[in-house]
Amino acid sequence: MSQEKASIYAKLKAKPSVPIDLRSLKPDRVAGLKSSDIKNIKIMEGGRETVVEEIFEVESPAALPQNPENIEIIISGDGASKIRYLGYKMNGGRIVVEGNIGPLAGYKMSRGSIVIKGSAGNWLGARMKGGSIEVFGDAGSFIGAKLPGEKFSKGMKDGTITIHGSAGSYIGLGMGGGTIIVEKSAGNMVGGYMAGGLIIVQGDCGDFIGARMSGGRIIAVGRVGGILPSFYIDSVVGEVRARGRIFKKPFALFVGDVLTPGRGTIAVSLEENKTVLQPLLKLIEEVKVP
Amino acid sequence: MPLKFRLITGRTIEQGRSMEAEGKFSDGYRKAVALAEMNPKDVEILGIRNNAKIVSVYGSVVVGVKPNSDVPPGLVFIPMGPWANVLTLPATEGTGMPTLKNIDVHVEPTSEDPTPLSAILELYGVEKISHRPTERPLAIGSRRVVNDVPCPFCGEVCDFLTVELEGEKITRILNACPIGHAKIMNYHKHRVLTPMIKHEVNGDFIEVDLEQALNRAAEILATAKYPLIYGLSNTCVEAIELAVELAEITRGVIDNTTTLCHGPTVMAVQEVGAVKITLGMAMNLADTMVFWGCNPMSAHINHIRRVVIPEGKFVKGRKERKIIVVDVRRSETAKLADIFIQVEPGKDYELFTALRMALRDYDIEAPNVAGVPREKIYELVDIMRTARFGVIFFGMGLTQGGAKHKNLEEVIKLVQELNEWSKWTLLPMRGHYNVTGSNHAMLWLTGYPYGVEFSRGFPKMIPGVTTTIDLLMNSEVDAALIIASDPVAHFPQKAVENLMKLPKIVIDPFWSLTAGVADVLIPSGVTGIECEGTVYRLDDVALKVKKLVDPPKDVLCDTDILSRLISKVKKLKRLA
Amino acid sequence: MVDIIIKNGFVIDPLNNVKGELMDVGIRNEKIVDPSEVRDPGSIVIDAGGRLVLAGGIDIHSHIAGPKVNIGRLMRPEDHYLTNIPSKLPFRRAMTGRTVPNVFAIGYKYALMGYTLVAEPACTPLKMRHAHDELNAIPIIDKMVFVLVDSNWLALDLMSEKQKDMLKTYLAWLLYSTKAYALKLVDPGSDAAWMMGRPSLDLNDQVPGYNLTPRDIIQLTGEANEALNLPHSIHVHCNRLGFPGNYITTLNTMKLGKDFALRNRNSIHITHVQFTGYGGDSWATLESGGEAIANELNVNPYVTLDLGQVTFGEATTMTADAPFEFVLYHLTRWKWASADVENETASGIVPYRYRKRSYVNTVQWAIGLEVLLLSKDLWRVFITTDHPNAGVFTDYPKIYAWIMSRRYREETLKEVNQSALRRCVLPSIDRELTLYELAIITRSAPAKLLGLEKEKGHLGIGASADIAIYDIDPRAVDLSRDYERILKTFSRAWCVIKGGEIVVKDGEIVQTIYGRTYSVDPYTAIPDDLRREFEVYLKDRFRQYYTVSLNNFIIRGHEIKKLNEIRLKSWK
Repeated sequence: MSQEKASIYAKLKAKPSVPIDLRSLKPDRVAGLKSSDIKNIKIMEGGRETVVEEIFEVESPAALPQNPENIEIIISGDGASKIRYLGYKMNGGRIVVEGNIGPLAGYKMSRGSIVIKGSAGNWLGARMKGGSIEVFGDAGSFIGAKLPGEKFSKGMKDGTITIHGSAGSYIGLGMGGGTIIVEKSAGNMVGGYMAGGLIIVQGDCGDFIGARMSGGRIIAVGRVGGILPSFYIDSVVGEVRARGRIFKKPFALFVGDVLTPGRGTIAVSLEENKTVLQPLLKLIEEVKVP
Repeated sequence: MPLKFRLITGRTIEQGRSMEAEGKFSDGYRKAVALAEMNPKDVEILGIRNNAKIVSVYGSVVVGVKPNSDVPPGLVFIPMGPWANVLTLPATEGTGMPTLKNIDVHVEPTSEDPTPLSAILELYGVEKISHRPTERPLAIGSRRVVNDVPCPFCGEVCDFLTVELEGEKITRILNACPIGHAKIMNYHKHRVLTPMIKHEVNGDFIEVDLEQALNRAAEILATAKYPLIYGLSNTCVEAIELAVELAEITRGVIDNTTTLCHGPTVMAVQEVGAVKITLGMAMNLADTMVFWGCNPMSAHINHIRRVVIPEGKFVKGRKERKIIVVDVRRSETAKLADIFIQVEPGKDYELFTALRMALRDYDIEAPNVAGVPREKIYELVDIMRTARFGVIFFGMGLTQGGAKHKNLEEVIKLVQELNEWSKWTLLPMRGHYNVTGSNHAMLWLTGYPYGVEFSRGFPKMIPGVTTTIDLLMNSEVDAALIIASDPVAHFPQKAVENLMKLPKIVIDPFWSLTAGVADVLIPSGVTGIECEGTVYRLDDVALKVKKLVDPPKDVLCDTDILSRLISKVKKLKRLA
Repeated sequence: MVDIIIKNGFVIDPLNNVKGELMDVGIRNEKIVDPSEVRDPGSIVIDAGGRLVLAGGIDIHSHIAGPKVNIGRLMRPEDHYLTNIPSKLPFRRAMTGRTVPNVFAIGYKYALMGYTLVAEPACTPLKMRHAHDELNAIPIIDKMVFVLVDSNWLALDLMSEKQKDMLKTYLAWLLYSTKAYALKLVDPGSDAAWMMGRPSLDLNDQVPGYNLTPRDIIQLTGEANEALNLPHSIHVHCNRLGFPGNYITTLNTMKLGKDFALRNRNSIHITHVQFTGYGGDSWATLESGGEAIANELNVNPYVTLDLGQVTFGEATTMTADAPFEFVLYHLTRWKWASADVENETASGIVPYRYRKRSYVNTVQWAIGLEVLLLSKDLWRVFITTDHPNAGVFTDYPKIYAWIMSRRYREETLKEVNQSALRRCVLPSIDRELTLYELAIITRSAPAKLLGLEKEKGHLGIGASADIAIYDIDPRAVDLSRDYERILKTFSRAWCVIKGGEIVVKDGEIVQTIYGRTYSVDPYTAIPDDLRREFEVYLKDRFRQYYTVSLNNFIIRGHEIKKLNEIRLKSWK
């Protein structure tokens, strides 16, 4: 039984013209397999059933470790943005994409890590239960979200998603726990219907931040489009800390959404949002400025 | 120097009428849609004489300018169509719905002429478009009068039309609105009457017989790995059921126009439910009607006369009804309102939030929400909760921008919550005459209303992944079958660009822009005039549209075309 | 069509007094024939090897088609995510959904359980075309739909004007012009109240705007039903559904049957009686009214009823009882859909989950079983879950096991809420039904209830060749002890024949065919002069009240894929 780390390289042979459903190529699925078995794993090319070897050039050790934690899969090639369901229900190990990835990466994953060197599509880390996802480029909408129609706390439950670029709208929709960090900007309705967990947006946010939150915490470090009337201003603090990051500047803290009714909090940076916050600042007695 | 504006797109009567009467290649159509309505003050400040150049992140276009004091300063309104779509944003934010309203643009005066259609099509990556519309021959015959004819244009499906014919020639239509009238009266114009296949080398259309066209189409669909079937809102349920079967056989995607129309409404129903009625409930009982983000006077023209004006069982006509309009501009419908509320573009969600808070008697801290003063919000809530029977009619103003499907969740939740106080209901103003039917048929066959894919042999819908605009933007489908729809005219630019790269099979009675760029073009009969079938009105009532005349010689109805296509594809896939 | 002969089947056929015999069954041209007639060497021979052979099952009340069901599908996408079965073309299409399945799942799953006829119990006239669109699309099973009449403004107008002949004519016309099979009443009069913004009604309350009570509505409709000689009686969902203490209303409704039993036979069918069988006066004091209902059934020959049995798990409640659904929406605080239909009725859809540990859900579960096990005449009690209101139809085998095996009941009794059991008599009931009795309840009696006993529900010569063969030799197993066999056997039939075609083989769907839609026409037989008078009245009212034209409202025979319209001859 090998304790060494094994790497599998899968490179797209050609740019796909249709989506490639790659859910079965993940560390816990290939653990203990022989290299020939990996090449024969069934995947979908659009509506056509095919095998890994037909779409990818695969380089892997002859036999893989039993423990998925010791397995790393590296995906590369032009058109990786057509790959869907990467790391679906992943339970350990590591997947790296040298490029962009398509929608539903990390969907229902519970352990392990996914690293995307480029950008990611919609529904990244939807219903995630644990593990980590890191995206160096931008990511789409509905990050860490619940699926349409599901109850509101069924989104991401645990784990961490870090986007170094910008994100789309409705990120963290219905999330119940875990952390989402966006280093650039995010679109509309950041943390909508959130029940728990933490979202940090270091750049600007769009409109309707925290809509219908029932719990959890959002930190908006840059500009926000506005604050919904269903959030009441609570206080002003000199700095905000979360998950090892410190933002040393004044933030206004809001509690809401009263319509849910919820006790989530949104921390909104004061400097960038003077116009939006001005009418509301008068409502609190003490204004703490460092 | 160019100034920043917000762009709204939408329907107008002239856009609809010219589209149906003269076709999209005509001057009349261009004059109707290569047009920007702006506030006279803005026109003056910018120094616009006749035309303006409008620029968004996706492109720029020159259109004529019509000063209109009903358009608030800072806003530009361009009717839906190819000119508007140079500027609209294909990004769906994961909802499947592109952003067709509330787009940031820059406007500057120009002496250039409005961009011709050919230039627009070039921007869309259309290398060559054919335009060979034919007039269908009309056999003159004896006079007859057909009553109770359902109109095949918009979601109202007014079924009280009277059509007089002499043989196959329509001589008179009674009770139709101008657009329905235009469609039925001109059913014989701008037709596709012979199947065509595009020559692989020179790109010209070659006339072929139906069998050849079907064979070629079947080949494209059978060999595609992930084909898209799109459109369906202008044909009957029977055809849609066959289209779903075809998608299941080819393991591809099937989507309908809901995807850029009331998709968000339908998504909202998935989340929270809905409180609906049929039109007669509004007519007989509603004493308070709200029109939010919709403009029936331009898009559902008979609506007011069917639902507001008549004396119903309990409410005696217009004088016993209170009409409230909420919109970003004083639309045609707003002019007949008792109360008009102007909301800031894209901020409806905030207004809904404040209304729901006021309904619970919570304090609203800000003096203004979404451009509406706090007092007005409290007043509106009191009118609503003391109504005896209220209806909120709503449209694209809520679906195509701002919070998109979340706006619709709010409208539904507001109505659900108003039911604690009095009787409140809602109705979406569905656009095409059978878009509701396409949702229903897809629901009973697949469990989902639109945007369904069958790659693994069973239906799945994921907004932003299996919806058409996203699939096109990511170049994920490898063939397209377009039935009874004109995406080249109505999709945002970049989506059309990507559509152009695919082999396209188009089934349509009329020579639309999409027909002009097809690889295989198959003529079909006009549902509601030459072909009968079941359609669903915007309030979910199913009606049968009539066959008034036979289809042209050798032209089949959609149901027959699809049946034959299914047989051929099954044979090619060895499933027969 | 090839002839078929089933050899060595262990046949139970109560309508023909066959209590369990080894027999052969012959099939030719969609019908059952004498086995000796099947001689052609090309015939298919099925050696049942002693397996149980029954007529195809009949479900008299299951929400399978129409606007409610489709909005249910729309608002429950989560019901489709994990319940998918890929297609197997060209034999069968893809299936999806559990509480709100797609049309293929409905047809195939009923067929897999050995059911061949299912009744959609409620659709409003204006949306019947939608119900027929869906019924047309459901494969394999025969079907029918009942039309809602109790809150219909035109009917209420005629009732309050005491125009009995015109009322009869209108109801006959409704059945004919919507291709319906029977008349349905749901919380009679309450939707008329709901549409006016008023609360729901008990039997003796006044319907807003009319000098009528729900009692009047039931009596007048029942009378008309009997006078029209309709094959099924009126099908009634009692008032006060869902409210603790409502069993009294149910008993009073059951007693009304005698008043209009013009044909001296069963005149009123009470549906999903579990939902209207609550004793106590609040949710906290809820107790079972099942025993009282069974007692009334036992002394009242004019009543038939079905259970609406709770089977635990996820459900989607959907009913024309709009006021009740509004209440349930407040209890569940999640999703709610509602649709008011001009001049006719309303509806509501609310997702719900039945939990074993819940006090209320346990009482609900017990009520249905009590009613069945305490009933003496098994020809008047029917198994339903009011799918998908109290449970899904694919859970019927659980109900069979509960009523046939004391052991299985006891297993479940251990798992449910114990304090609830103290308010129910179920724990003290020993009775176990036999297979013969099960056959009565699921085949023979439903055929009779619907007036189709000549061709359905039995295996005699001339019957439709709708046959289910189950993988069990009843002589070799003690089902009361070995309840797992009940669950397994009835979940998936070994072989199912529909209209003379094999549709299920070795527990798999092997082809997709379409069954017939049954409807009644009591209108054509009505005397000309009365019809003329009625048509004048109808045209006028339609123009006043409706937003569709009369001509476009009417559903014509050719709209239905395979219509089997029963023209009724006599009229009193």
